[in-house]
Amino acid sequence: MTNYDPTSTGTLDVVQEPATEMQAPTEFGAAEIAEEPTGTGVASMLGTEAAAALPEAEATPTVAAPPKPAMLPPFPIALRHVSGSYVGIANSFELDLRVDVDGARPMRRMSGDFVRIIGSTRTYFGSFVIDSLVITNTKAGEVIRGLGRFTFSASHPVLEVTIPRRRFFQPAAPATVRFLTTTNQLGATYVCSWGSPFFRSVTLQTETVSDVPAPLFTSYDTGSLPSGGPARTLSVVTAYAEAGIEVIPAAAGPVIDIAEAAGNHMWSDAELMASMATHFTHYGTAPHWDLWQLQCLEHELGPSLLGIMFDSQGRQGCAVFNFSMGGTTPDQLRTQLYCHVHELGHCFNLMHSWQKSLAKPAGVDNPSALSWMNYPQKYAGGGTGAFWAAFPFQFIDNEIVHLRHAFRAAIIPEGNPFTIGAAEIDPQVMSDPVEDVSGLDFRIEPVHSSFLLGEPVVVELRLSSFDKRPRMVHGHLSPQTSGVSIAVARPDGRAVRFEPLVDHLVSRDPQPLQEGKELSETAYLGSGKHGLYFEQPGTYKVRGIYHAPDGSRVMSNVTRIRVRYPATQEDNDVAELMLGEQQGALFALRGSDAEHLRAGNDALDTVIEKYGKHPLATYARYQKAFNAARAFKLVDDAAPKRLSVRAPDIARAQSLMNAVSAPTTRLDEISKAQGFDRLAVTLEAAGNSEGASQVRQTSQKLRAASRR
Amino acid sequence: MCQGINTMHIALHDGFAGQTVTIVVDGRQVYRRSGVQTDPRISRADSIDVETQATVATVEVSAQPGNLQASTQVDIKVTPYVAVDIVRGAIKLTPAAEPFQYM
Repeated sequence: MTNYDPTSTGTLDVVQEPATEMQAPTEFGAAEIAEEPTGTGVASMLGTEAAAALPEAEATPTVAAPPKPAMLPPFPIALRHVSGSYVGIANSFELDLRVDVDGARPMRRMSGDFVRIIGSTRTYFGSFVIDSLVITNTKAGEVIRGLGRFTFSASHPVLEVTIPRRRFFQPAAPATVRFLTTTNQLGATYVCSWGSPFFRSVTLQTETVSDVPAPLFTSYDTGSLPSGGPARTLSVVTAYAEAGIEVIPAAAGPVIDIAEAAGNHMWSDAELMASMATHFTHYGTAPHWDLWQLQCLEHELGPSLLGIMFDSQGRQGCAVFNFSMGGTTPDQLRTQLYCHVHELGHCFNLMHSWQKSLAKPAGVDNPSALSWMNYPQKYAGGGTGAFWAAFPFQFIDNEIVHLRHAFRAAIIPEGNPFTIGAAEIDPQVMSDPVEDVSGLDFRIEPVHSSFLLGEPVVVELRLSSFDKRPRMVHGHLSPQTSGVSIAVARPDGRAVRFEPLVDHLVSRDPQPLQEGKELSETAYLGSGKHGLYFEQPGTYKVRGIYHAPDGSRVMSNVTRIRVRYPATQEDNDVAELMLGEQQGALFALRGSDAEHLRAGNDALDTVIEKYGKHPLATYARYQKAFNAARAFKLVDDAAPKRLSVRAPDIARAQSLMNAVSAPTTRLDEISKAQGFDRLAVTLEAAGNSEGASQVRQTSQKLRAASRR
Repeated sequence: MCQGINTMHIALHDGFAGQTVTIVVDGRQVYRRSGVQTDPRISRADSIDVETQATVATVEVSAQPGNLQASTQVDIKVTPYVAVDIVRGAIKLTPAAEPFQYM
């Protein structure tokens, strides 16, 4: 049974608490005092066996017992902090919980992300944050409660989290998370094991260009020059650790050749993007907790630019420029540290302090912020000198809340989901997978790099296995069979699920797919249950999901489909004849004799007769050929047995198929092959086995050509 | 007497959203461009270096649409860097002694 609300189920799956290592000492809890052991006799000191081995003491005259020594006051034992991240699983959902109530700079918030587990795939589902907490100390532990804000419609929006208090030398306690309605009806319960004192983790791959002189930046002692905070040595890693974010340095490749900056040592944004695509190990289009930072000499904007987050769409990469700030003086090291941390802040979607109102949703501008995200020269409290004298080398509270508790999409690199305008599509349908160990690769590509307006949009779907063990798959790659789902993001930003005109209920008999083998199919996406999908010029994005027999949802790549504007009046006229709901239905059905589609057939006849040389006339001929190659039954109350049957028109079908299969037409090879397959069936049924065999050979050649 | 050449750096910073911007220095148009747009990543739209023999110059900046205008006198020897921002619908000119840095 499908449950799309991770807060709603009442079933409890108890997760065994794993053993954890002892953590560092935490603050003292005055109410918790360890009891001294009572009884200091020989037996307790030596153990009962040793005591039993001692000879009994001879009886001696009674002597007054010496006074007992004074009891030492009990030591207060430090308690563990409960803040950090926890993980729990219940009912096919994983909850990644972040508790922020104690420790360094607590923001008194909780937040979390849900990941849906289906088969071998884990897909991000949604996030929540609780801005206002009620914290109660009870015998059961710390009880933290609050009303959450969710990225999805949650039936149980109240969280109550119970975390037993433990001493510093004890393993961390799990967090029991209960979701409740506002009237305290219990929903889902998760038992979440302690994960980390950090709220989020990200890898950072730092690369260097060959012309950047040594030494490269590593750290700065904030006590070197007057500042507003405690003196300490800070690096990028420790600066973000203070904010609760774990930055994990990732292995860098060899030094990048300055020649990638094309002719001079100055980098353009385009060159930086290209370099990132080449060198960043984790470069991709799906959200991921990985960042790339390049150390170079100078940007083409000149020495005044110290750094830039050049990847404004994906926020995966940034660059710092040493031309003006390279060196080892305290002033230079301070600027280098500031710039490194500042640019990574942009990667996390933090805006400049005085520009918070430009964010969506808008924040409050704060030019007086003593923050990594200000410009010292713009500091409203007195400019550069005043800024440095007061700056404590920290983010301000609002920025820390964002870093620790922002909804996942608002912070994760490549975070904006594919489904922009998710009101028209189930948001979790196209969520990027967090993990996919299905062993399958699903690819979707358009058959043309661009389509004319009115041209049927056809994509090719390919499924292959890269697992040495055979993977069980079904061979139904067409969206008509619900073995595959396809989403289309339109130029206007709306995203819709493609629903075919006709659904085929098929038996998904699993078959093994060997490593290196491939299944393929084409699918017409131009028209479906709700009309036309590509009726406007512009760039669309399309993505597919393959629903594997074990339930895994294998995501395809995101492919772009460009529909061109009409270039001539003839293009415009043909597009108008090709674009219509009836014409779309005829392309989806590959022709029809149905009376209610007569207007559509008439329009396509006009394309063939009046615009016969236009490239799109091929498609009109194709659907006519396909329809002519088969018999067609119509229910006709006036006909004998209420059924009239049109016989196949083989000659017409052959003539049209020969016309559309010429190499110069725009029809793709697989569609041509399918047309010949249909013709071969009809020839065979008509007793023309030789003709059928010749046509099948043509089909096989076309399929072979499509694989090259 | 031979006067030296002084360079004044005028930078368009925040608030530009496609306006046509004109800069006049001591009555001489030195800059006119349409579609001026602030890059929010670095809070900078454009810049120009103006050479002049004057040590004090009058800088006038206007932006359309909106008929925005502002002017200021700049002591080029002391504050040769001039930041131009559009803040709450008005042009703001801020001379500075130090070069601007962006990140």
